[in-house]
Amino acid sequence: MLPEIESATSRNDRVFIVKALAEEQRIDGRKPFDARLRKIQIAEDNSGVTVQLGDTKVMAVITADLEEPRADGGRQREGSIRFKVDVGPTVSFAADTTRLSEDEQLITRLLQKAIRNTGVVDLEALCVSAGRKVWALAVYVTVLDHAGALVDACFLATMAALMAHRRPDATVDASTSDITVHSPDVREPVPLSLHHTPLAVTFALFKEGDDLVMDPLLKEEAAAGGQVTVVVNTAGQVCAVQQLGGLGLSLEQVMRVVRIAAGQVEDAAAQIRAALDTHSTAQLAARVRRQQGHAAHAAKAKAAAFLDVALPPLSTLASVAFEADAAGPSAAAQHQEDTEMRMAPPPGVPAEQPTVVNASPAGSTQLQDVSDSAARATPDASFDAIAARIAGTQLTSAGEGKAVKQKSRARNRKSDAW
Amino acid sequence: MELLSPEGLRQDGRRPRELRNLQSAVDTLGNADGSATFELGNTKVMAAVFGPRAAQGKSSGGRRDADIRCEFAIAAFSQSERKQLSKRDRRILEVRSMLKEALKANVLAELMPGTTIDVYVQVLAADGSIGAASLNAAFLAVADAGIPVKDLMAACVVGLVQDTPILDLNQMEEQMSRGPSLMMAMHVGLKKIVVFQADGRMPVEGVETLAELAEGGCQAVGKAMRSVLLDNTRKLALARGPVRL
Repeated sequence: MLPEIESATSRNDRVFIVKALAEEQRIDGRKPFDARLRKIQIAEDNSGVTVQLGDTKVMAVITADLEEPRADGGRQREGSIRFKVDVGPTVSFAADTTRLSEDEQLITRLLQKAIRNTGVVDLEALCVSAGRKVWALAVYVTVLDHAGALVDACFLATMAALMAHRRPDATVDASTSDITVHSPDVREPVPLSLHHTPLAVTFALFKEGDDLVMDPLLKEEAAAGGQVTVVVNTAGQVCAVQQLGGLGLSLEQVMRVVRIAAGQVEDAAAQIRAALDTHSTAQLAARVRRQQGHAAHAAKAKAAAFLDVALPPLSTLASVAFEADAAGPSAAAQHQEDTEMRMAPPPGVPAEQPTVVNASPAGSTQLQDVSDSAARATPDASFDAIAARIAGTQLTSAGEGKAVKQKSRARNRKSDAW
Repeated sequence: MELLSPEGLRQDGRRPRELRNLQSAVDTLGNADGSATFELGNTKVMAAVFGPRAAQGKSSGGRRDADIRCEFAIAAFSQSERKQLSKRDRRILEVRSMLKEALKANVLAELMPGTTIDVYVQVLAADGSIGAASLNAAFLAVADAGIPVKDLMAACVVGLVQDTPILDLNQMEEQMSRGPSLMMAMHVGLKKIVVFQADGRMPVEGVETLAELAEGGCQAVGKAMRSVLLDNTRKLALARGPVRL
């Protein structure tokens, strides 16, 4: 905790907090082992998670990039995960913005220990091609408001973000060993494979460690003689315990704190799961809306093509590059309309951008099998033609220009026939 | 590689609950107000204390207690791979804040308002349990400087290898073991835990097993440190002239 906060809390406040606690009362009306209200919001486009624990507010954003694996031995088949904690200047007048504050260090280290080192994320599942490309996850934890129990909120945000995260699917071509990153519209993005769910529970200690409060307010932290943070997963396994200085605790007192913490995380984990459920429902609804919108647009475009007018509105929408299937004509026929990108999109471009091509009425939702080409070939010929024209104009300058040209020629023939 | 042989012995021949050879000395540096070296097997740490002296720096004036500042460094030559860790390296910062918080809990800072105490800890040879060895060295140096403290504070590291709790991990055991570990520092007389840093996945009972072993380890280390401090006091007393009892 920032030392300045202690001096900014009045002596009266501190005395009152300690006295009230003797009667098991806290200044916000909670009992010693009540947690504050938790709110977990997951952005609809999966871009991040905002968590509120009382007035403590933390945001976590995860990015995934394809990188070469670390050179040191045994890590060739493993992706990586790193954490960056930022306690911003809005949090407190005492926050130090020029260098890494002690809070940031301690939280980062605890995240590393309890999440990375205990193997929460299956790093081998992040391997795309051994020794060549693996996914590197970066978890950015930004503290927006600090009203006590910062570590708990950071863990809640990080775990919710890890559970909500979807990375684009990537495949390796067996013959050419080219790596293809599939746009989220072509292949369903993949969730991370997670082994367990550790969450932090912080206690503030009073009176030689006999009086404890869970999930302390900032004022309680200032009045307390010390803090203990216990990181436990939902299976009741302890992942980390951290007590630094402050009141000395006896062995029994430490064990009591650990046991209480072990009984508390299930509640928080259930709340994350509920938020994820709400999120996935909302996302599905949004996707249906989006696809309906695209279907309408496609119908308009079809009419436009019929009248042989120019196609600017559609071509501006096709922000994702088209690409011919490298695997040969039969596979090309199967995945006729798959739009795929070579490698990862540039970091600035969100991976979830919808592409217009896939919005054909037959392939209206991702839930259907994309390779169901027979069903789509006939009604979509016109749409195909438009798509091919865009592909022809947009991608001839790209690396695989030749293949694209061939494919677009094939598509043009088709359009001629139509 | 097996860290524990079928006979239950460790790679360096120790039994699971055995400390390495422990050697320490106080008053090893001429310039410092208090200094100490602490050796645990091949781990060797040196600590120096300057102060308490008039408040240094801008923020420490007008305080009601002493400002305790810590610096921690690992020598480039201390490990098998010669590497200079940056002062902003996470591992360095972590140990540094641990040292600072532990000493703040140990020193009776309110007796020395308006002063600054600087504690510098330097690792000369790293063979595991660096944090614990550093805290022990720092405590001995603080005691040597004559700074009032609550109690004798001792630290040790324990870990779980193949479901067997082992005491005082060396470098190889720290690196090879994927199991949980615990660094603990306690006031040995008051039996109060000052630092408790556990990591790794274990059931609640595992924490208890480790903590109990660590408590025994801290007591043993504390006993050795106490005898060194007593010897030093005896030496100082004799240097004043014949002691009449």
